[in-house]
Amino acid sequence: MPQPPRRSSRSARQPTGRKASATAAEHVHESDAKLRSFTYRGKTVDVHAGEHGCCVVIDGERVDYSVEPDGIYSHEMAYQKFGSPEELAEEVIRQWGQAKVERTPVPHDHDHDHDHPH
Amino acid sequence: MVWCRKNQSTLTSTEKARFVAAVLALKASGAYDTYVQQHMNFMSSAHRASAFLPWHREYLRRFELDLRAIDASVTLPYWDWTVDNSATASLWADDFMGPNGRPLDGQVMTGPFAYSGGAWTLAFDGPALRRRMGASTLAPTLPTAMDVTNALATTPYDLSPWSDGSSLAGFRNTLEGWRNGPQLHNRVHVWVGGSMNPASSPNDPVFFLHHCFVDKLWADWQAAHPAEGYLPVMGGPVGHNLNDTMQPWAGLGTNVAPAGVLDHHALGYAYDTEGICAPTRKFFDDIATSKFRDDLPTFKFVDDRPTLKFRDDIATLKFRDDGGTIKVIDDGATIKVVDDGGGTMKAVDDVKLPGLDTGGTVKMAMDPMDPIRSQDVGQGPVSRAMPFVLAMPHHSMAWTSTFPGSLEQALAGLEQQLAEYQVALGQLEAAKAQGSLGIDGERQLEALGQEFEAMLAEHDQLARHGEGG
Repeated sequence: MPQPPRRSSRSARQPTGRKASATAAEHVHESDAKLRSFTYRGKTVDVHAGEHGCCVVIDGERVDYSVEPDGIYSHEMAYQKFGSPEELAEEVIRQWGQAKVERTPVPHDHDHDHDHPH
Repeated sequence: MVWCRKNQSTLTSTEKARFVAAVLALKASGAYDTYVQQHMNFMSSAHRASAFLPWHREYLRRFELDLRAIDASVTLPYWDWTVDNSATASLWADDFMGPNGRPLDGQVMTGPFAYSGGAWTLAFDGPALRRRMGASTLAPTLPTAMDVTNALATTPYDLSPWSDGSSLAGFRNTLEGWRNGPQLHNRVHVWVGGSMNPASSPNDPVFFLHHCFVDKLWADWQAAHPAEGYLPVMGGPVGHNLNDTMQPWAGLGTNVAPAGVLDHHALGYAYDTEGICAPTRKFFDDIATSKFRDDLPTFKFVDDRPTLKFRDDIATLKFRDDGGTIKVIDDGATIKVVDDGGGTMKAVDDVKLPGLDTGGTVKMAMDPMDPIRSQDVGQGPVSRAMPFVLAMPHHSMAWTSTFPGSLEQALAGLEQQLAEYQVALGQLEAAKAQGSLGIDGERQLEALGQEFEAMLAEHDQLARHGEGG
């Protein structure tokens, strides 16, 4: 089951579809700290974290996530939440198997803002 | 008029083929990928909040209309994953959705949506369709019937803060599957895995069958809780209040709000479990026998297209004399002639029809018309190639001479039924000429024609009998 994330805030939700590319790691914002790197099933994973979340980079392919009150959420695995970015990265790798992770970035959803009810 | 969405497990091979062909045609046109992109672009608008169900209802309706523009006989089938809950279900056969993905990378290798087939290249998160059924530790199994029952008992529709909290009760959040998730809707996405995981999940055509069932469950919930309305009416996130317009349709010039999609019948469709659809599935499914009834006022022909129903079950052959003295009733596989004395005479003959039964017994009790056979009770299986009345005219028509006037009455009733058949056939022929009959209608026309011919033969035989032939 997902574990409580390191950060918890309703305002944490943010678009998770920034541009991905083979050099995605270069696009990680300077304020998003690289927490750690590890290898899982032959793939290299870099975990980055910012104030509200950031991304994991799997063999150069960036997968964004946000930190939410009850878990880590990503449009890449859009129907579940994870206890940590590492768990997210591992499930993405299991799902793609030996194929290279090649995801299409999810565009910003401009009309949606959970934090500003009217 | 509404069209009926069916359980995918009930589709004929032709219906499956036509659905698949329409989906492939939509893909070839590029329109299918527009749907995928819409789902990706408005992932946040359409999920994890109150408008999850209305948004997908509108989304599916538009998709279905596009399919029906390609083939008017196609409707969106639903996948009841509480029943067809394994990777070996017929849903995943090569003539429909295709199978699970291969272990190496999850790629689906056969069926109409295999990348290798050349007709299904993903525009997003591709290029190949992938599935990993039951591989996730969070969703090794599909939701159960009990999960659905519990969800359908949950009220109200939604609760503040109208989001996806794991402890947030309310029907929408429960059905979407965030409550102690992944459950229900979410769990199915995770169970199928592969291409069903990302925001581009409509890449997998089973997405639409899955969401069709989710929509059906919402319709079921609405029917079960008519006093429970959509929430929030106001004060919720933008795009999720009752009268808020939903994207992307507002941006495309069409204002669609949750309030506008609450009545799915008004949108043009119903589900096969609803009364508006269900009775029509009973149309003449057994033409082995005919039915004569003297209570003709009960004979009804109802054409409530796209469903068609004859409420008079002519699969049963009945000769009925409401004089209260005799009955000869064939209730399908069994013909009964019973004499229970006391002035009431009934005949029971458990004649079994080949193809319907493997045999049976002949029981004759106090049959004054055939005292010898009446002793043959339980003498072993009897097989007849024709309905009893046709096969045994000497017996079945004996009553017509015993009870004067009954033959004329039967003939008159039969002629009235024949006339009604002619009217019905005429209507179907007219619909066919106008090109509005559809596949089901064609079948019905054929079956009805056969029924008519059989009844006409019965009539002629009765008439000859009356003439002493």
